[in-house]
Amino acid sequence: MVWLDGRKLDMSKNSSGLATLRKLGKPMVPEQVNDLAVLLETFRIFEVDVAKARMPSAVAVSGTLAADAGNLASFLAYLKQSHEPIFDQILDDMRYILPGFAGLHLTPIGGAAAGMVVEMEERGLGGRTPLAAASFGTIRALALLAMLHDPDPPRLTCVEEVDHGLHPYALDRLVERLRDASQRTQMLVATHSPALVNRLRSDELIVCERDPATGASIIPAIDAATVRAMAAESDLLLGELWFSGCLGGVPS
Amino acid sequence: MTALVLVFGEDDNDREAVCHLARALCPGVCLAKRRSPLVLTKGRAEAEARKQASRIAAVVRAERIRSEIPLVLAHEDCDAVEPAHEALADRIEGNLSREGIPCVAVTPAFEIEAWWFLWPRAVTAVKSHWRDPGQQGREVGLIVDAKEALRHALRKPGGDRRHDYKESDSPKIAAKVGELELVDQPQARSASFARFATKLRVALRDGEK
Repeated sequence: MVWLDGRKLDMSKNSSGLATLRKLGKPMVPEQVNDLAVLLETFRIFEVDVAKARMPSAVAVSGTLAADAGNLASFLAYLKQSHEPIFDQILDDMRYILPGFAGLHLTPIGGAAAGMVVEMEERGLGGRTPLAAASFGTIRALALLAMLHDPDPPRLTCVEEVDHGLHPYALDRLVERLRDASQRTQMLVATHSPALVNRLRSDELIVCERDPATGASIIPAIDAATVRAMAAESDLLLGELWFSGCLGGVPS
Repeated sequence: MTALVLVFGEDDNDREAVCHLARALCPGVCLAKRRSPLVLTKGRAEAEARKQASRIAAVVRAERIRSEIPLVLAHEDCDAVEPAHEALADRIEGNLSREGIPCVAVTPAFEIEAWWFLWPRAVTAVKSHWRDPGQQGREVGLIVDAKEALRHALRKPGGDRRHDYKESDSPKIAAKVGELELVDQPQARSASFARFATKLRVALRDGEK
């Protein structure tokens, strides 16, 4: 429950509070509060729902990728239609990540309810593989790349376990795309993979841990300058340093 | 700068157990486990063993940016009976010494489970399902395949094998050695433990001078 100027505003315990911010309205608070609510609402917590992403999209073309990538097919159709060089770059990345990948086919679904279906073409395999039959890692990689190449991303994008389901060889390309995407949006991604951390620079790594006594989060557990000095002194990669326990963020 | 003794070893159960024993031997010592590199010398050619020592040295150099590291404890089971621990310990300490890292090797013979025969009270304090493992007054460093020997010794006749000793019990036993203040009251003999205890105490005492 929130009180403002003696007025009670009901708010669910599970609410993010954004809707309440909007309820305040112009008479009570400056416009900046509304602007802040709008900004917060645009932040993308990207968590691929593979089961949904592998299904045909319910609409043919969509310019906004859903936070669960549930409309992956229609977003890819949008990129192909309106940003073909970006779509081609996604195909190029998929060929790097997925040996045998040849291309994507986007087919509109006819009938009363328009939609879009994605099929994969693979070298050495006859015919096309519907996305519904593709592997977990393939779908997740495609969804991640679509998000990372989004030409109009929100101001902040967060991804949990960004490397989940990806082949370690794909991590070089993933890190490169994260760096590219971070020119357009603030990327905040979580990982527990030393293989991924090995590919990062010290200023790209924030080690997080919990205070064992209080349970409070300690972020960062170690400052970037110290991490840089430790890496230089030891000649170890950041993932090796983190996994060794030197940087914190490991069970004590 | 904090003074920190770093503990390296074969797996986390071993590292944790070594930390408990070191605290029991030298109360107040500040220890931290370090995971990588995982293996020191076992089954490795000399060149590879030196490479592993160099990897430990790299971690220690990194740690020295923010902590004083007076000593490293490097654990590796002998997988052989005494006096095999001596050559292995000399080899580990020699390789790390060449890297400029002061080290005490922790080289239980046959393996760390042999040491748990030293403190039967600590063992039975961990699980009531276990019986006294025996071996009082014996040279436990001569027990071949000590892990299996301990597992067998602790199992009560007709006992449920789900209660058998597991490697993850190792740190719990080591912790009991400290809690019950048994470390200086071994009920059997182990030259490999005696070497570790003496060298650790000497190294830390010398470090204080």
